[in-house]
Parts: sequence; C-alpha cells; structure tokens
Amino acid sequence: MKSTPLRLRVNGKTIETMVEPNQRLLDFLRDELRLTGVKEGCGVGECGACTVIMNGQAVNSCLVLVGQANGADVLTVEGLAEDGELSPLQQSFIDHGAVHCGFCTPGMVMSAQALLMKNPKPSRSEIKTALSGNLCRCTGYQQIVAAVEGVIKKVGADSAK
Amino acid sequence: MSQFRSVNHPVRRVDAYEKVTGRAKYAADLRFDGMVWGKVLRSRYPHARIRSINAEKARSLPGVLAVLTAQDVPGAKTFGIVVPNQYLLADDRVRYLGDGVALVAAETESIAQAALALIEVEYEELPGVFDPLAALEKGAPTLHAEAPDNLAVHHHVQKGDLAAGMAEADLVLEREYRTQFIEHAYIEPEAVLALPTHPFGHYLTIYGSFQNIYNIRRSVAKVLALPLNRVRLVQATLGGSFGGKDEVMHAMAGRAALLAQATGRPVKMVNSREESILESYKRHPYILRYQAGVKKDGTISAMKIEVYADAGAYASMTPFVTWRSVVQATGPYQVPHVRTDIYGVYTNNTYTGAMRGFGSPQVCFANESFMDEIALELGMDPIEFRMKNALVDGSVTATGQVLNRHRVSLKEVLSQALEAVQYQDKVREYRRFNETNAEKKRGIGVAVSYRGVSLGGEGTDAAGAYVSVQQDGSVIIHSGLVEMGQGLRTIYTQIVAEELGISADRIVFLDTDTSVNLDSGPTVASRSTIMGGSAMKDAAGRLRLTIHGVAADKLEVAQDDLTGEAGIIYSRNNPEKKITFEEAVRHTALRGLRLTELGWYQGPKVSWDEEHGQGDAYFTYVYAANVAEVEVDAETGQVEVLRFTAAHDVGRAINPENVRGQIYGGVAMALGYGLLEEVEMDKGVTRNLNFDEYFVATTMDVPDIQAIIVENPDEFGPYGAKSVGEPTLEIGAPAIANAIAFATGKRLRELPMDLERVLLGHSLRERRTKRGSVER
Amino acid sequence: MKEFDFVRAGTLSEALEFLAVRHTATRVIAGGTDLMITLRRNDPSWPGPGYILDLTGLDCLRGISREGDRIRIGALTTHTQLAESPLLKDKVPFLSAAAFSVGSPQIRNRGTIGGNIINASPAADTLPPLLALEARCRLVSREGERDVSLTELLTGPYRTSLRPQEILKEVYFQIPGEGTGFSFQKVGRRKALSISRLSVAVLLSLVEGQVGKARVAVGAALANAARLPEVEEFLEGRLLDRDVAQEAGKLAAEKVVEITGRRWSTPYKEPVLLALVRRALLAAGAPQSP
Repeated sequence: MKSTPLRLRVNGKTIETMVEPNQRLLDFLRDELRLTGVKEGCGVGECGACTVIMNGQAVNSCLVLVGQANGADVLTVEGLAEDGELSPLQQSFIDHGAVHCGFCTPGMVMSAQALLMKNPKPSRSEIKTALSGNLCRCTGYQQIVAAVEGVIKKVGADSAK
Repeated sequence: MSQFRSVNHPVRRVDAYEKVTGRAKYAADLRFDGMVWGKVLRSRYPHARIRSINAEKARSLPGVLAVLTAQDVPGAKTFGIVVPNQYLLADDRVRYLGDGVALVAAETESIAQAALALIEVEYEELPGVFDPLAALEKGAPTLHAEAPDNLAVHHHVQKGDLAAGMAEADLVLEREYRTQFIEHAYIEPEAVLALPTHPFGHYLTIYGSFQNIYNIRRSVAKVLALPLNRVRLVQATLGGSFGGKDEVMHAMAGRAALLAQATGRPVKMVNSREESILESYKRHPYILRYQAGVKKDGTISAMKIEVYADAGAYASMTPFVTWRSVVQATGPYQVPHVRTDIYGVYTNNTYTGAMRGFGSPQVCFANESFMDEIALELGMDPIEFRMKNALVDGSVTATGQVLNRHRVSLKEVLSQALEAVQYQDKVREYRRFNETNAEKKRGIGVAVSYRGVSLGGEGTDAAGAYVSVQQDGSVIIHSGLVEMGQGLRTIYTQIVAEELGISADRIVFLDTDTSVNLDSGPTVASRSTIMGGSAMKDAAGRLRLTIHGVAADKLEVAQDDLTGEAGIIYSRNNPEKKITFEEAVRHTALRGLRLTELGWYQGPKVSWDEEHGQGDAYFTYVYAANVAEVEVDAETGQVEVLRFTAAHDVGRAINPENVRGQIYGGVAMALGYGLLEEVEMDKGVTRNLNFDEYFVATTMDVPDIQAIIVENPDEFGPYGAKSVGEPTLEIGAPAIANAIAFATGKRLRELPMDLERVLLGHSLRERRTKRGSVER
Repeated sequence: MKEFDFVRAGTLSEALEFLAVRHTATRVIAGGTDLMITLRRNDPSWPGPGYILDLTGLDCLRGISREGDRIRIGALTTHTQLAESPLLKDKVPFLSAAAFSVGSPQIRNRGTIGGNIINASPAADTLPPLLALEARCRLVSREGERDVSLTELLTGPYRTSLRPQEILKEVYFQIPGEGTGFSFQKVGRRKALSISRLSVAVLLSLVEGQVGKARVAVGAALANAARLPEVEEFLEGRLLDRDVAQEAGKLAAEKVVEITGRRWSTPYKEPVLLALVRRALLAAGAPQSP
C-alpha cells in the first residue's frame, strides 16, 4: 500500500497529511486527529454512531474511504461547541434529557445538525426521518426528537424577540 | 409544590455535557504509550474437541508479540459467578461458536488480525445439541461433566393443591408460547485496555466497558491467580449495557490482562460488532407451557406452568434469571393453587444470561397473552378478567408472600393507563374501523405486571456510598454501582444535594474504580436507586447532621430547627438566623470534625425456601400497565404501533424526566422484542452478526409514547423511590400481541411477531450454510 | 479492512485510461455504501483489490437533467438528489419515492444510482422504477461508449454485463406522457434502514379507465429486479378495476413462482406480491398518484 496525500478541512481547520489508503474517514478522525467523539458502532453504516457532516451532508464516516474526503469540509461533534459554549442543539439535547449512555449522541447530534442546516423548521416527521439512520438503544428516541423540536422553537422564539 | 428541592425534580443529567460534546471517553477511545492490540481466535465449531493448536507461524509473523492459549492461564482456567464453568480460553473443548481458543497481541490491530489466521487448530467436531428439549433427552450430547443431564438449574414454586384447584375449575386451558434469543445491542461494542503490573504499585489496571465491575474483578483475579487488591478495574464511560457487559467482559478483561502481563505492554481489545454479537451472551429463549383452571365467573383457581430455558453453553446468570421467572410466572394475580417448574438447559448455542428484564419478559409475554386467551374463551372482557384476579393490598403471591408492606397498586396503574387512552372508546373505534377496512386492521391490547425490586432471594443485597464535603463546600461523591446511561450519577447527585441543601452543580461524581469505591454488588435488578440511593442518603444525611450541628452552635438555635436550601442553612422559626453552607463547612473543618462519610444500606430481609418453592421473594414490588395500539397490514403482515401508553408505579420519581426516559427506552426495546428482533441460531451458528440483519427499532418504528408516572412511596426506598429500569420493557410485547390478536383475530404465540408470523401464523427460515464468520 | 492502493480520478478520461490498463486489479468506488462493506469483510477467499478507483470527484457524472423528451441522470447522482429532485418528483414520482425508501439519510447522501444499478442487488430499490421506465444505460470505456437497456445490463444477482474496463456514465429514459400514473410499493422489516423484502413499481397510462401502457417491475422477487411482461400484456387494453388489478397480481405471483420455483420464502412472497401489485396498479390508476 502506498500512502496518499490528503488535504481537507476538519472543524474549520485545514489539514494536510499523508494517509494509509485503506483508512476509513472514521479511522482518520479517531486515530490520527483523536476526534474520538466520532464513534464506531457497527462498521457497516447501520447504526449512525460515526455520523459526521461532510460538505453539508450527514454521512457514515465508516463508509467513506479517507481519500474520498480529499478537499472536503468535515464537521464532527467536536466542532459544534464554540469556546466551550454549547451549540443550541447540544444544549437542547441536555435540556430534554436526550442524552443517556451517550454513545449514539454525537452521531445523533450531527444528523440533527445536518437537518437543521438544510431545513431550519422541520416537522416532527421530517425530524424522525432525518434521525432514522441513527440507532439508539437507551432513549426510545422520544427525548431526542423533543430536543430537536425544542431547539427549533427556541431559536424561533429568540429570533422573534 | 413538591416537598423536595432537588429530588423529584427533572434535574439535568450530570454527565450530559461531556457526552454531548464528544469529550466523554469510552473504553475504545483510550490509548496509552506503547499500546499494542489484542485479538481473540474463536472456535470454528459449536461443539468440538481441540486436538492441537500450533501457533508457530503466528508467533513468527513480524509485529506479533505474544500468542497465548489455555495453558498460559496462570490461575483458574474457568470463571463464572454462580457456576464457574466458563473457560477464559478453551481447554480441550469448545462448547459454542464464541469460545476463545487463542489470543494474540501485536503492534497493530491488522497484524493481530492477520496472526489469527495463522494459528492452526486441529478440531474433532462433536455432535452438538441445539434445542433445550432435545438436550434433556437420554443420550443427548452433553456439555459439562457436572451436568450429565444438561440441566443447569431447576426451580419450582409450589402453592396449595394443584389437582384440587384444577378440579374446581369450569374451564381448563392450555397453551404453549415461545420466545427468541435477544441481543442487548448496546451501541458501544465491548472494549478494554489493560495495563501490565505497575512497576511500583504491583497491581494491574484495566479500563473497560464494565457493568458489574466487582464481579469482573473477581474473575480476572481468579484467572491470573492474584489477590483482589492487586487487580484494579476502572470503568470507562459505558455506552449502554442492559445487563450485557458482564460475563463477556470477564473474559475480555481477563484476556487483555493476560496479554498485558505476557508482553509488558498496555493491551487494547475492541470487539467489532460481529465479534460482539458472536461471543456475547443473549436473553434466553423460553418454551413456556401454561395451563390454567378458571371458574365461570372468571376467577382463576389454579395454574400449572412448565418452562424450558435455553442456557446455551454456560451457566452464566441462568440460575438467577430463571429464579425470577419462577417467582413471577403467574403474573400479578391471585392464584390459590400453583405449580411452576422451570428448567435451565445447556445447549451448544450461544450462552444466555442477564438482560434487562432478567427472566420476566418471557413469562410476561406468555402469561399476559394467556390472560387474554382465557378471557376470550370465557367471553369476558380482558380488563374485567384482570381486575377480577388482580393482586390487591394483602394478597398472597404464588410464593406465599403476603403483600402488606407496600401499596399494591396494580389496579391503580391499570386504571390510569386505560383512562389515558380512553380505552373503551378505542375499542369501539377500532371495531368500527375493522368492519369497514379489509386491508388494514387496528387493535388495542393491554398487559400488566408486578416485579420484585432488587435481588430478592438471589442473595446478599447491600450497597455503599462515599460522600466527601471539601473545605470550600464543594462535594465529591462516588459509588460502587455504575452509570451505564440509566442516570445513576444524576440520581445520586440529587439525593446528596437534597440531603445537604445545596444545588446539584456543586457535586462532582468520581469515576468508578474497584480499588477506591465500596463494593456494592452488581448494578442490576433495577436496584441502583433503592439500594445505592439509600446508601447515598445515609452518608449525606450523616454529614448534614455534623454540619448542621456546627451551624446550630454558631446560630445559637436548636439543630432540629435548621433546614438547608440552595446553599443556605437557616432556622425554620426565624429565617433571619442563617449561615451559608460553605461557612458552616469551614467551621466544621476548623473544629476537626469529619467531612467524609461512607454510607451503607442493607436490603430488608427476604427469604426463599428452595425445597418447598415458597418464600418472601422480594422486599417490595412495582406494578405496571401498558397499552399498545396497532395497525396491521392484513396483506403484508406489517405491524405499525400507532401509540403506546405505559403507566408505572415507581414509588417516587427521584427524577421524573429520567423516569420518562427509562420508560421510553424500555418501550422501544419491548417493541423490538415483540416485532423485530431475533438472534438467529442455526445449529449453534449465529446467522445475523450485525445491525443490517439484527433489527433494532429506528425513529420511524417507535411511536409516540405516553409515560404515566404513578407514585406510591415505599417505606424502604429513599424518599419512597423503588425502581423503573426493567419493568418498562417486560410487558410491551404481550400488549402488542394482544393488540394484534384484537386486530386480526389471530393469536401469535411466538416472538418476534415478524412479517411472516403475522401474515401466515408461522415463521419462515432460510436454510443457509453460511458460517458465522467474524468480520472486520 | 483489505489493503489496496487508492486512486482518485480527476477526469473521466483519466479514470477510463486507468481502467483500460489495470481493470483486472481494480474495483471502482462511488458512494461506497456497498463496496466498503465488502472491503471490511474478513473473507479469506478474496485477497482484496489491488486498486480502488474513486469516481466521486467526477462532477460530470453527477446531476439530473431534462434533454428534450428525456431525463438523464448521471451515475453519481445520490439517492438524496433523486428523492429531492423537483423534475423527478414531477415527472416520475415513483423513482423519487423508491430512492427515498433506501436505507437512511446517511446512506442516501452517499449511495448513488450508478452504484445501485451496478451492485445489482436483487432488492435494489431504484431498479424496479427504472425498469418500468425502460431506462437505458450509457457505458463508457477508453474505446468509446455503448448503450444498453437496463434489462440487458442486469444479468444475475450482483452481476451485470458491464465490462471491467467500463464505467456506467448515466442512465436515461423517455419522460412518460401526461396522465401517466405511477406507484412504488415496498415491504421491509423496518420503516428505515430496511432492505426490501419485496417491492413493486408500476407505470400506467389510462385512457378513460382503460389501460394503454402498463409497466410492472418487481424487486426482491427474482434473481434481479425485473419486469413482468406477461402481466403488462394482460393489463393492456383492459378496464382497470379492482378485479383486474387482483387478477394481474395473481398472474404476477404465478409468474414469479414459475421462474423461481417454490422456495422457503414463497409462502410469504406469493400472497404479498399479489397484494402489492394490486395496490400499485390501483394507486397508479387513481387520479392522484403515486
């Protein structure tokens, strides 16, 4: 295997490095960048724990070869909070009791974030669809859906002020 | 207005910030300098003798540091909490496909993986047994020398005179139900990181995804031939467990420790999802034969129950799981004459053990389906039938226990659930719907339960707590019971905050470490709040006495006149007389008084007479009622759960939002149990090893859930709290089964009620020859 | 994970040149939602590819456009783009619906129509509607282009007649006339992350209740997604009502069982296929479809 050059943006920072060609974006983020908020739950794109936002879209980072992310703009859960200040979505997850064991949480938050970037006022059914690629075994999803609904209401109310 | 200031309020989770930012470290996220990777070679056959193992080629692969087999285990070859018959590494025999045969440590994970393929194992395949009924037949292949009949355990309950009870009956009904293998499906696969013996401290440290951390330590110490004080386990943030990260972690921690000792390097092991599903234990499949004698007026006169549980290859928790089943098998009803027998049977399937519910989901499915079937036979409304036989205050259970120490709230929870769904209106609505629709059918179904809280007659039941007030008034607490997502840290923080009269954000919860915490037994049986919570209350309460004593002195008031709230200690009679919590703490410290307390709580007395199958099995019980509303596609077998309502008496909700979270999560898991999930074992070979074929319910499958919290404070619980974790998933499946029967007129007696069963009444199985290959 | 060298194609001709030389040792990757699983699988009988050729940088293979009375869809167009395309939703809504039923948002954001075709799973969701549209595929290699019908391209489960030097460039079809009705029906075990147990796509033109053109394709029923010509012939010229739809469903189930023989899944699939075909026909024939 020949190492290949990689250049991409992760959480706003440009990274230039050499990578093993058979690394997954997931491995690169976890092992090279130590962004361990990106979780591996199944390795086959079924659980969504490894979800990151790549070029504006939620993707399973276990199904992306790192070379395919060349030139991409990648956002992980670590990139959401600014200077320790939680994003409204993260805060809403906490406020609604949507975090239990927490293992699905980063992926869940990223899927929700991707939804809100595309559609700032989704319906309950659109929220459920957007989160349907993220398995959670603890919450039964109800508080997670409520958290996303909550942030829409809150942001709506804040901007109306 | 609540009488409480922290308890009984929806306080935010204390561990949520770390988790929502991705900073929380789970075991697979940890790394140490010099770390190497461990991998397990697992069996090729469900049952075989190992003729020889040749690891030469594997050892000579560059980057490989160690290849170990059973002969390298320095201490006991086996472990197990009840019956120690599970091998850390297979000795001369493999008993299921997940058995470990050899270990590799290598510089990288891919080298370790490659080395596994180079280990040559010569097997002699043995005939296997894959069905508990077949395993009990004479001449069946056997698994363990100490169980020549393959019987892992037999429990019974005997009450009254069964023959007389049946003779009194106007109707005797008999039915058989079957349940399936269930995977815990925690989203975090198992992981450990073992550090070799500390050069100065002479102890091993193992970080990992541990649930029952003291039991795991016991096994590791045993196989390594080390005293307990030289094995230190630290729990990493746990990504879900549901009863699952116990024995599989005994093996994993023991193996990693062995490799760490052999290489002198930190060893990390992480299971892929396929490895996890292949090796880890499951919830038991049961075969349940129910017989009941009923009078015309709907009174149950007798029940005879026979249950066969597939224990798989090892005992694991089967003896305890089946004991809860035998105690609760007749459900929350008054039955004068009872005979229940349950057999746990060894087979060459994946072993089965603890999973949320712990022997109740199976008997609840059978019994609550059976109750509807009996009502139908009698021409009685299923609710009326349940109400007629329901346990009430002072009732005697099947095990002869008089329920007189707590409020028996079965009728209350059922009434509240029915009222919330407008049950009778729904019945009429769905009947009308079904008259005019051919393709879609709707139904409503109910199920109820009672459940013994904590360990009961299983054994010693006690828990400790550590609460330490620092000189600035901040507080450190820790516990030997563990957080696994259920919210324990938040609950304990609230309890300590309540007792000390401070806000929750002044309390820090320390990580769980076997060498620091008080051994509090396993974090199981929905016992954390009632047991550990009581211990926290004990410790914090004693600290309050100390600190308030000093405050009373300073303020020159009687100590029992003082109360604490929001960090202020003040006189109830004269609120102007007050002192801040910090100030009071500072004075307490200056006086040289102790600001750290160890709390302890011993469970109230229970009893069990195994010979006679009678006893006061649990010191208190919780009650629940669930209502499922479904729409069945009569032409495809697809079932949509339209709405789900769950009423639970929890004694007291320490954190109502957290209780609702437990209910939502339990219901979703119950929905999977009822409709979607099954680990398919084909002659000992697991066919679905990942989430593409093992179906966990998604956001789209779980309906809106209405959670109803009922509070009847219990004399034994902290602030009256009992439990909520497990009861939330034990009756969802029968409620759905009853709703499907309402909708279609067809009774399904096997789980899961998947497309084929709903449409055809039976399952269809593909005959595949694919081996359970471990993928990565 | 298998070991291989990674090559990202900058231009289509670069990709074709690479394949022309190294096709025997190369696997092409697009969205990766199928191939990544194969690469991760610990299958000792397959050493893995020498090279992975990544096409995702080739923007020329992306996009949905109308060209006269045709719609062309670049092979790298994702399921999300198919599901959200106003053009497709307007002209061939059952294709959008089928794409929307694939996996999960994350899978739909990566998985492509080209990958869905070339992976040739019997249960691929976009294939029944594409077959009903009589879609054709443009295949390119260094030597030039060729054009085959989707039916010809699919040769078996996970098999196509794509040559190793070739890349699927685009798929195209005639825009159905005004008044054409469509329906996509799918049964899965879950409501998301679900592989079809059975799917049916129907395209129907009706003139005063009478069937003009009928196209009926099934997924997860045969070795490949496929049209059922006998059912189409049966329908053409008839007045569509519930009885005719039921008859057509019965015929579809019969034909499928005739081809596959009675298998373990037949007791389930036979009645369900009948029902899905009937439902699809009635939905496609209803004034508002799908």
